Parts: sequence; structure tokens; C-alpha cells
Amino acid sequence: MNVDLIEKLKDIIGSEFVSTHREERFFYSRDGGTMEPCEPDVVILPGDAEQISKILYLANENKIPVYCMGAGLTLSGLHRAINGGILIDMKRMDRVVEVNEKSRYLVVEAGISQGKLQAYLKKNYPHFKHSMPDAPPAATIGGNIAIHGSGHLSFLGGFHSDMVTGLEIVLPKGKIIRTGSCSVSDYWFAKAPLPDLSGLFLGWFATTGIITKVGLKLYPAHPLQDVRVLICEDPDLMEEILYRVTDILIAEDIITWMTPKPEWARGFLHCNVIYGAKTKEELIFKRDLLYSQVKDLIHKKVTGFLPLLPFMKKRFLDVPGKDLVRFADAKKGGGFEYVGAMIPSNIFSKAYRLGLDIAKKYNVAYSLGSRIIGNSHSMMFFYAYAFNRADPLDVKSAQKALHETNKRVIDIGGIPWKAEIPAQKEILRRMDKNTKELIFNIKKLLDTNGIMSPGNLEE
Amino acid sequence: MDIIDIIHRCFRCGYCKFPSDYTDFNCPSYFSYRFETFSPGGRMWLIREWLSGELKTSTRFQEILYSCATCSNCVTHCAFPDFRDMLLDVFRYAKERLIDESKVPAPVRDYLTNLYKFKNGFGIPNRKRFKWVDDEVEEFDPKKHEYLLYVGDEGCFDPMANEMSKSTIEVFRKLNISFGILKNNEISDGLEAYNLGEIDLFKEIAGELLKNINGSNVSKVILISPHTFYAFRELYPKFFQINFKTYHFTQIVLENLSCLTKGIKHNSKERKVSYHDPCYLGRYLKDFTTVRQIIASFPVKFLELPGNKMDSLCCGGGGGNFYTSFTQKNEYTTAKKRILEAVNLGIESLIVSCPICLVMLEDARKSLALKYKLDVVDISRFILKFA
Repeated sequence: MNVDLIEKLKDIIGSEFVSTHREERFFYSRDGGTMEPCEPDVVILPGDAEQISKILYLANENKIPVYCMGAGLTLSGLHRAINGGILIDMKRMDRVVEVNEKSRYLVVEAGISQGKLQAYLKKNYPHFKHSMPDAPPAATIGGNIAIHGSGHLSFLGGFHSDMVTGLEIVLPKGKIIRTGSCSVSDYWFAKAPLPDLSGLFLGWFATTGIITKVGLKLYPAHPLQDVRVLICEDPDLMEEILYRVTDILIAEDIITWMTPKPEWARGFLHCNVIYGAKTKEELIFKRDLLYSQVKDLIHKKVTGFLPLLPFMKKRFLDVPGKDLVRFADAKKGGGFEYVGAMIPSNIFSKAYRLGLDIAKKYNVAYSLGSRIIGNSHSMMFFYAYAFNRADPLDVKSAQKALHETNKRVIDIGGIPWKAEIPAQKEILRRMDKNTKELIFNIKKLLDTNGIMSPGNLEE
Repeated sequence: MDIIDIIHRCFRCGYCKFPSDYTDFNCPSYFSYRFETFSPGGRMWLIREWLSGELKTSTRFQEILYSCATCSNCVTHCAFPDFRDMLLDVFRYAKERLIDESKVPAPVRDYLTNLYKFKNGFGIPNRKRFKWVDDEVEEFDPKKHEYLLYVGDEGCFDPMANEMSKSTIEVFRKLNISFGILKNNEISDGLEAYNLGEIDLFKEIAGELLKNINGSNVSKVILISPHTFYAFRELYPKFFQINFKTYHFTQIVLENLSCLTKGIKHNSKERKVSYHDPCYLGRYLKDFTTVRQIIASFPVKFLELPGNKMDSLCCGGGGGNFYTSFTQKNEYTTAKKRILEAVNLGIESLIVSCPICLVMLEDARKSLALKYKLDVVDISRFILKFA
């Protein structure tokens, strides 16, 4: 990239926030997963949408690729600058713009971290919470909704992209637009009743624009919170259990987990049902209702509730939970990668058996589980494989396991979430031809010069 | 466990950048530079690459390493208990390698040269160290004095920190604490040489200082700077035999404070004050109560700052940055943020117990040119307002 262009970038956002140093190019070229590094030519930290607008205008003029990063925690290498160019780190844009209490939504800049927003709400609006993903607190709101993330209120509210009430976006050519009610009104209350343009930017791997502000739904933060854990040994039965516990709509979050460690958990399928309440009576009512849904199965001794010690309960209720990140050290190697497959709830047992099969085949340290999304219409089934970054063969093995999982997930009817480049290609390969054509046409229409995240959503 | 065994185990999850409630970024260098490379995780990944030879030594790499304020926020909040205690060791190891290769940035080189030549980081002849004390401050004599007071480089040579030393001595006098100083035998504690990766110089300086102290038959040493207190309490015993007890000056003040607080009454128009925990007294040595107890003895309204105790926001002066200023290069600094946090709380006096914090925060206050009236005041001066 020529010096003039770098100087222009510095003029737009300030020289301290523009780096062509090898150190930044190295670090931003990769993430904690297994995808090969791709170095940007320059890493920049803009402070607002207007600056991004000017940057995209400049990038178009010069036909320079632009990539975008939140916290870089997808583990699929989605922010990598596959064709070089400009990498935008969004995290300086981290302000809370507005909270509308009565309408239960807020507006934030896209680079705000999940942790910062959680802390902000706890301090200023303790009666509200937003849905936190299982990612570390550094994950950004914009990054997470852009990849259709999910989290600890997803049974209640669906994907995090479903919780969006409006967006501010900088289009590839630099124009700033709004989607949803905020495009007409001062209020960011809903995407309806307008044409839902936000869908043009959610799940597109930043190929259609850069999300700079997000309107997001808020949910009640109940003073009481409880978790009950159902266990069984049969994946088909777990499918039935999930159907029953999702039928009563008491939960905020329902997750399953299956892991060979700790030893007491090996061979069992666990289902955590997490629910909140305003009063003790409500909590007991929900607990009893949950019990009634599986009472007959408990009497048959095919399932039961796991007795939980207080420290275990706390761990299950902690949001975010540090334990999940620690899986990266399962092989004392600082790495794990996972296929988060979106699947219909009716293929849970197939998805589980697939995971066991692949873990055995590649001899990888695994952790399997799922999160029920939006009243059980779907679930995000995750296959996490730990690897040792210091051992190239181990990295390769995890990568192979990952790629095979992606393919086989599609075979059984699921779709890899936040798909790596090879998985994106596989999805497109199997996609309805006319749908694919429409996607490419929309991309072309919005991004004539093909500068936005090239390499993504391409055959 | 060896550094090589853990260098690849950082998952770059980012917990290290936050306090425990994730309110905002709590790592001083990341807060200031905002590139991931300036976070603890960034350093881990870069150092691994650098040790493997894939990344060459550069000015940027030096800046990344030396902008670490050694505040230990990363050690406290890293998600990996197996190796988080070694994070600062990894960073220091890399700095040691830079020293070995004679590839340190100019401010680091200058500081170390001063330390080597003058036995203090200010490059001032050591005979001028105690020019500011009056004749009543005597050279330590074990027959006359209970404590040796070690003032330290900042407290002797920096004009603002020196005011804190003077206040502390005045408080000691009011409390009838029997102390003496080393006078010409006091030299730097060497801690910053250690933090900057010059371990041999650290051993040399600290060894000489301890020889001087031991030569004076000392049984109790009072330290003014929490950094020095940490060096004496935790670091020296790893390298040297220590035959005396050590105290932070606030601990001795608290023990003897009752004679100054008798009859003090609280009233309804109390001044709003807060306390900024210094990293080395707080996160490192876990003393969060002494200064708070002292403050509570006086008629003021105490409010906690948003990040306090284990979550305290570092002023950015540690790890040699008081001298080298890598954390102060950009407009956004944690010291400025700290001042604004105090202002937002309506604090009138922000109390510190560390000479480095005093200077860093006072400088930040001045540079912000606030209309709001906020004092940054050391705990001794605070006491003297009432005594």
C-alpha cells in the first residue's frame, strides 16, 4: 500500500491509530483458531462512523480491500485480510448511545465489548440485561450480531441478530444508512414494519457494509436465578427431554454439554435449564413445573437431576464463564477451534454421535454441546477441539477434524455457523442456485469494486 | 515451569485487559495504544514469534514490551490459573533478551545508564540525595532509632514526590516515631532495573543497598514507595538474605495514629475524598485496608473509585514508565481516566500512598486543565491537614 494512502488514513483518524508495523500486521493476521494467517497492509482504529465512511470512500477510490474485526474471537479467522489491505479494529467505537427504558432497548456503538455493556447495565440499569454470548467478555456486540451469535438469553429471544432493533451501517462506498425504525423515527424500537434491510448485513461476513451502531433488545434481569441439570446416557432420550423442557417456556437459557472431563461427567449427556424469577414463589413454581415435565422419566430412572453443590451452581450461572475459555488449555497448548453448527432440534442425537465419531477418528480432545435457540426451533451445536499450538501436527489434526465436521454437519441437515473460508465454500456449493445468485448480485450491487472482505462468501 | 513451556498457551481471550466486572479496559498500555499488540495477550503472541526468529527486533516491538506498567492486572484476571503468575516473567524475560542484545530503546538505556553511574534513575549525583532534609533528620543509629526510613529515588529527587517524603517525615515527627535515614549510603532500590530486564544491574544495586543497610545494624525498615516495599518484601528475598522487618510507612502511621485523631469530630459538611490503590501495595501485596483505615479516622466522606483494590486502575508509572514514559505517549492515559473518574464522583481530594502515583495523577490532572477543583494529595499531607 502506498505511502500517500497511509498518510491519508492518518489524516482521517489520527496517526496514533494507524499502524503498518510488522507487529500489528502479525497479530491481526490470525486468531486463536487453526486458519492460516493473512496479513493486512495496515491496521487502523477509527473512532466513529464518519471516519469509516471516509476510509471506505478512499478504499473504493484506490480499490483497496477492507476487513473488519471486533475482538477477533470467532476462531474461524473471519477477520483475516485474505487479500491484504486495510484491517479495521472496531473497538474504539465503544460508547453507549442511548437506553430507552420503557421500550426496553438500547443503542450502542458496534465496537463495545459484551463485558463493558454488561457492566454498564449492572451499574446503571440493574433491572436489565442483554444476552451475553459464551465468548469472553472482550467479544463485541457488533461482531457477535453480525455472525448471528447466540447467548444466555437465546431460548427467550433467539439469535442475537433476532434481538437487533435497528442498525447504522456504512455501506461499501461510504454512505451511512440506518435500518429499522430509526430510519424513519428518532426511536430504535423495531425492525418492523419496514422492509427488513438489516438482513442485508447480518450473516454476510462484512461483505456488504460495516455495522457501526446497533439497537438491541433488553430483557429483565430477575433478582433470583436458578439452574437445574438433567442427565441421561442416551442421546435419543436427550432429544425427548429437550422437547419436553422447551415446551413449558420457563427458561432463559437451555444448553446441553457432553465432555469426557471431568471424570464424573464422562458418558453422560447434561442439560442445563437456567431460569429467573422475581419472587421465591415464582422460582419454586418454575422448578416444580420443570420437574413435572420429566417426572415419568425420572420414575423410570432413565433421567434425573444432578445434585449441584453451590460452587457448581455458581459456575453454571456465571456469565461469562471463564471455564469455557480454559478448554483452550486442555492440551496445555493455547488453542481450540469449534464448529458451531446451526441445526434443527430434531437431529440432536445425530449431531452428537457425529461429534463422538470424529473425535475418535482424529484423537482430538473434544467438548460437545448445544444451545437451544428461540424456543427450540433450532440449536447451535458445538464441536470444540482443543489443540497444542506448539505442535504443528496437532494443529493440523484439529483442522482436519474441523473440516470434516463442517462437511458432515451439512450432510445431516445443519449449517456451520461463522464458517471458515472452506466451510463457506461448502455451504455455497450446496446452496440453492437461485439463492446463491441473489446473494452474489446483492454483493455486487452494494460493493461494485469488491473491496469488502474479499475472499468471504465467494465460491 | 519454564517460560518456553507456557509461551504458546495464551489463547488471546482478552480477560487480561479487564477488571473483574469488565467495566472498561484496565491494562494501562492497551488502554493508551488500543492496538491488541499492546495487551498482555498481544505481548505473549509477539514474544513467541520473536523468540522463534520470525519477528525481528524493532522500535515498535521495544515500545510494546516497555509500555507494560507491570501493574499485574493481567496476572490477576488471566483466565488460566496454571500460568497466569508467570505473565510478567515472560515479558521481563523478553526484556532481558533485548538487554543482552543491546537493543533497548533510548529512554530505557538512559535510565539504566543513570542508575549505573549515579545509583539513582535521575542522573543526579547521589551526594545530593538528601539535600532537602533538615538537620533534625539523623543518620540511622541502632542505639537511637527504632526504624530506618528508606525514602527512595522518586521521594528524594522528584520535586513533587519529594513533598510527599517531607510530609511523611513531618507526620512521623508528630507521631514521635523514632527513625533515621541512611544519608549518603542510600541508593536506588534497583527494582526498575529488574522490571526493565537488567537483572545483573538490579543485583548489583540492590546488593549494595542491602550491604549498606545491614552494615547499619537495622532491624526494622520503613519504605515510602509501595514499589520499594514490594522489592524489599517479595523480590529481595529471592536473591538475598534479609535480616530485618519491612513496613510500608502507612502501616506504621496507622499503628500510632490515635494520638492525632483524639477528639476529632465528624460534621455534616465533610469533604468528599477517595483513595487510589497503588498496584504494588494493593494487587501485589494485598494491603487494601491500612490507608482506608487511616482515612476513616478523619472527618471526611469516603467514596470508592470505580476500579479499586484488585481492580484498581494503574496510573501507568510502573515498570520503569515513570522514567521512560511509554504509557504516556498517546493522548489517552489511565492517569487521565483516573482523574476523570474522581471528578465524575464529585471527589474533592484524591488520596494516594505512592510517590509515583502522586506524580502521574497530578500531572494528568494538570494536563486536563479542569475547571473542577480536585486535589491529588498524598496520605501524609492529608493527615497533616487535620493534625
